Amino acid sequence: MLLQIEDLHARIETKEILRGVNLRIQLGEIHALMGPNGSGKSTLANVLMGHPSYTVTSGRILFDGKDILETDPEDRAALGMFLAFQYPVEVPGVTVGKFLKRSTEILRAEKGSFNVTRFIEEVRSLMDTMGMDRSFINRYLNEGFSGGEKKRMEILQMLLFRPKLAILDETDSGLDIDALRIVAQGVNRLRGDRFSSLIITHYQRILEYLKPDKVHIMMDGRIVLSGGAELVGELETRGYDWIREEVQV
Amino acid sequence: MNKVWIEAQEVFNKLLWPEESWESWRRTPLGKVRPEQKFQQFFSVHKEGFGKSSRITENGKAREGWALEVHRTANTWVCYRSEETQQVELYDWFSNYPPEVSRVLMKRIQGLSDRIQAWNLSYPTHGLILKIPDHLRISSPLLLQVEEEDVISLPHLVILLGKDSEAQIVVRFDARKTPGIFFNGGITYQGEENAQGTLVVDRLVPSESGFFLSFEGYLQRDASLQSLEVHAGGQVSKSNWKLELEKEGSRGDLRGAYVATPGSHLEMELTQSHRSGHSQSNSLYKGVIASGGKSVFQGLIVVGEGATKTDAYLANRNLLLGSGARADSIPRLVIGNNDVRCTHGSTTGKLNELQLFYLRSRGIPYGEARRILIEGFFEEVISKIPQIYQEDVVHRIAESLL
Amino acid sequence: MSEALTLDIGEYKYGFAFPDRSVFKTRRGLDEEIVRTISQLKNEPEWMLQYRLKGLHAFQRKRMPNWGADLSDINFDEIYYYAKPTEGRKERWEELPEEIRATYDRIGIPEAERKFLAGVGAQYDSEIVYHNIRTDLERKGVIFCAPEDAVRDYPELVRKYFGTVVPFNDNKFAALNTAVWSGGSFIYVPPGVQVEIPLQAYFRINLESFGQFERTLIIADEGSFVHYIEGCTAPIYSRNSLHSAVVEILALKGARVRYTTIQNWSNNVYNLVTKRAVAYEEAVVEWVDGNIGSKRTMKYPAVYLMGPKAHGEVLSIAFAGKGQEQDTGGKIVHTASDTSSIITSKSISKDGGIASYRGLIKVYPNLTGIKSHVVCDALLLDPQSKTNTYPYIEIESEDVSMEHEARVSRISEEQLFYLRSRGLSESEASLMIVNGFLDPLVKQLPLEYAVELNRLIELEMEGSVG
Repeated sequence: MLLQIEDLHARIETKEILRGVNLRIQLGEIHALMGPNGSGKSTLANVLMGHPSYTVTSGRILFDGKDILETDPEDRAALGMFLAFQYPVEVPGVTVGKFLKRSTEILRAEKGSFNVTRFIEEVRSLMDTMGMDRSFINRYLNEGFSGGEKKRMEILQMLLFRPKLAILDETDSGLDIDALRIVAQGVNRLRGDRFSSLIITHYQRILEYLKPDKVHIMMDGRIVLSGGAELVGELETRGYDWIREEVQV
Repeated sequence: MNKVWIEAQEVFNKLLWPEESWESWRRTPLGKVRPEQKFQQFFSVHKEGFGKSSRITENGKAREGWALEVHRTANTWVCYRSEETQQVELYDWFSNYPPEVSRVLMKRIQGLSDRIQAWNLSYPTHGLILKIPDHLRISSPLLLQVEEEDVISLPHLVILLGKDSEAQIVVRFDARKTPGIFFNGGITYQGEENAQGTLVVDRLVPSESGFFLSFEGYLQRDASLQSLEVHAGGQVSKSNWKLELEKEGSRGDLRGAYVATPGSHLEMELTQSHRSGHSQSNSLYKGVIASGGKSVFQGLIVVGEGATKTDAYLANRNLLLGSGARADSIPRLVIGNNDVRCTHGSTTGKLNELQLFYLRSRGIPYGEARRILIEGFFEEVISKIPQIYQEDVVHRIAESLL
Repeated sequence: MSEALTLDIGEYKYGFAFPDRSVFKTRRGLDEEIVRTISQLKNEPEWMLQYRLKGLHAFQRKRMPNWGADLSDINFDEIYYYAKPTEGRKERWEELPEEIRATYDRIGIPEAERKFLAGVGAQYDSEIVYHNIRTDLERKGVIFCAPEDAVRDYPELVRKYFGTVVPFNDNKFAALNTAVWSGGSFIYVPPGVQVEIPLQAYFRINLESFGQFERTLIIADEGSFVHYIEGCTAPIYSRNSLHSAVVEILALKGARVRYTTIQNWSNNVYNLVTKRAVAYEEAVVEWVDGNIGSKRTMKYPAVYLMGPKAHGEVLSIAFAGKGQEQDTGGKIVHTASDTSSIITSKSISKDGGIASYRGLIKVYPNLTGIKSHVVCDALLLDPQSKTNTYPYIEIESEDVSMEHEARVSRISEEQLFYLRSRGLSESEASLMIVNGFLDPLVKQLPLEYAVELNRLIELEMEGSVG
């Protein structure tokens, strides 16, 4: 089991947002997490990555069998976790190139033999894949990027770092169809028995490109329903209300 | 004698008259107004002594558009009220006012550091206290119009907005009939929990006059104040406007509109003082300086050590008309903790030639085009004041520049 | 936490000191006799002595500034105002006493000279102990020497310009410098000569309770260019030392002068410096002023724009750490039409340090086509630290475009989290953000100095957690 979440409760300041989340992801699986606004999806993503604003009040998160609740974000990254942020933050003055180089050095095993030339070639080719201009390497991280450019930069990083688990927090929101296809292709490129992904979204569209193995519905801080890819179609036709009714009864 | 102004006199006695070598006074032509000399003359002007109470006379209904009007003429306060302001309390400065007024004034007095302000509080010549009771929300504005008839005039107004109340107040000092007046006025404001206030202070003074005004406001939890001070004309004028955001969630939106006419020296000191967390302040002071006029804007944002999550912005914009116009702008920040967002900006420039040309190319004559641009310049400053008074302000600004 | 940061030194690198081996030192305190002694030692002409005495009297008369950093624990009677480390001045390192050589070796001076400098002056306490300039520049008529030598060898130039930019009575510390100045640099660049490689002076205080008062005069004749760099360090002592320099720059018509300072005094040094330049028609003066060290610094490099189309620029970087107060900024005075100016200030406060920006933009009456832009950014790294901004803007002409912006920010939790989620440790993430904050400024430094500055910031950030 790659990721195992057990009865996870978390709050921000005094507000409880996660109220007992249970989720298990096997290596090689793609899971989709859906749910209405405010149901706690983004909170779950941030808590998984160890965001300091959230406090876990009870429950466990096991990654590769190891309890990571006390693990710093950078060490979670080193374990192979990756979060594609919903709103990637701007870091003025820090160039994309400098940042990517440093992170790659840390996150790739071959630290000692880091080869700058090869690295630059790789980043350039990834930029081509992502449909980004190569000049982005000299720009400040996320500063002045359009929404779509920020999202592509996140996926580029995912491809560069090759994590075991990529959490995509509404990476599809606000993207046009071309950008969406590029993002999905990125994920599909890593797909295989060494890679898992948790795709958080409230649109069905991205899931047409990324057929999920499992689909979970989150409401009021809990996963209330899980199923296969067929659940997506059901949501499309019936919305969320029927689930709410079913669950609440 | 009231213990409030006994206390004020004690503070007054400890302070020194300002000198041009002091940082906050080095730009002021004190020689033209001589406050110290005026103080010596003060007791011969007010022979019968200050502290003479004035009557407050109730005199029917306020004009349409106003919820309440108080006019001071010939040593009498005359009050006109609408239905919704029957509960509003008014007191003469020298009468027995409620204890909460004393408390606010004591706070004000204990914070005094300037002798001219202390003079106003210790030897006021007249004054009025306006209290909006808790939970009263008044939709139309209230007007306090004070005619200044003495050549040395020291009014003080106290405005209290009770818990959860709301009011828009326009204060207008009118000294047009008193050439050579030395005016030293004060306003103290307190907004209780969740009180939403709007305050406009405007003054009409003759060209030979010395004008000093000090405002200090205190905001309690979730209280807000929108203010506008309007300054135009007078020979030497200096105002101090200070808002203390005392409690969490308080908000201040402070604006100024000023015109430095030829030969006038106009000075404004603005302080946005954040003493609690989650407080917000925003200021925008805009001025037009005519040839031969001078303006000095000194703004200050202070964020106390415990005032985290504050958000403060300060802006000063000066428009210079003509080559002899002079504008100083000193927007300062003093920040005592790191969990804040503070920015300030200052710009100084002249009328935009392209805009002027554009309007003229559409057939608008030069003078009118200029006026339109100047009015446009002030638009964002005066847009939030009671509509009924906006036209007055625009009109007076335009008039002062004729 | 992963240990990506492998910095070997956690403390001030230049805090070492050698024993006092001065060949001559005045007694503590300052009076007319001491001024006369200094003048006599330097074999000065009478006019310079008289000028020093005017400075002394102004110093005694003038009050301490009642604004700015807290200077209350300076005791003028405790200080040694002059100490001569060696006999004579050397042009070869080998001739210097071993300890002085060792000092500069540790600071890296001879190496830097070989690599990228056109000329070097090194001052140890009161005197320039080493001086050298590349012969090709000398042949072109470039003068780079100790000011004492200039008084002797180029009296007409010195008399014409000395004290004209910063008068003897400008402020208390400029007056003090006028009275007891010793060492510094004198630079003259003839018309049209471009000194492409920087000239550098290195200032070192070795003694305790010592006052260093160097005096620098730079004259860039018409159409010439010169870049001058100074660096400063001192040992860590329990008693305070005082560094009070005066720098005067004249950029004649069409000349360009760039003056870069990397100030890294130890944290027992009061650094109270008057730096001022005049820029004539179409001349350009740029101050790059990095203040990392010292206990208190008060320094506001100034440019007086005296001729049409002159341009003045100040780039100020300040780092205020524990117990430090950096009161820095810039002044630009526009006295001619079509002049422009830019002040950019970036400060970082940490561990209770106070960084203040203080600046002036002044525009004289009846000018046209004036442009000025001021940006101050302050970054606070922890809740104990403070920052202040005191910009003074005084405009007396209509045709002016003046913009001033200031921002106070802190390292945001979101930025830290983002970088940490990509594997960076918290301290490395903080450092990356701080470097990013400074990046737009550091880019404008010559590469070697950018590297040096980055290294200093890294040292200051060592062990800090955002």
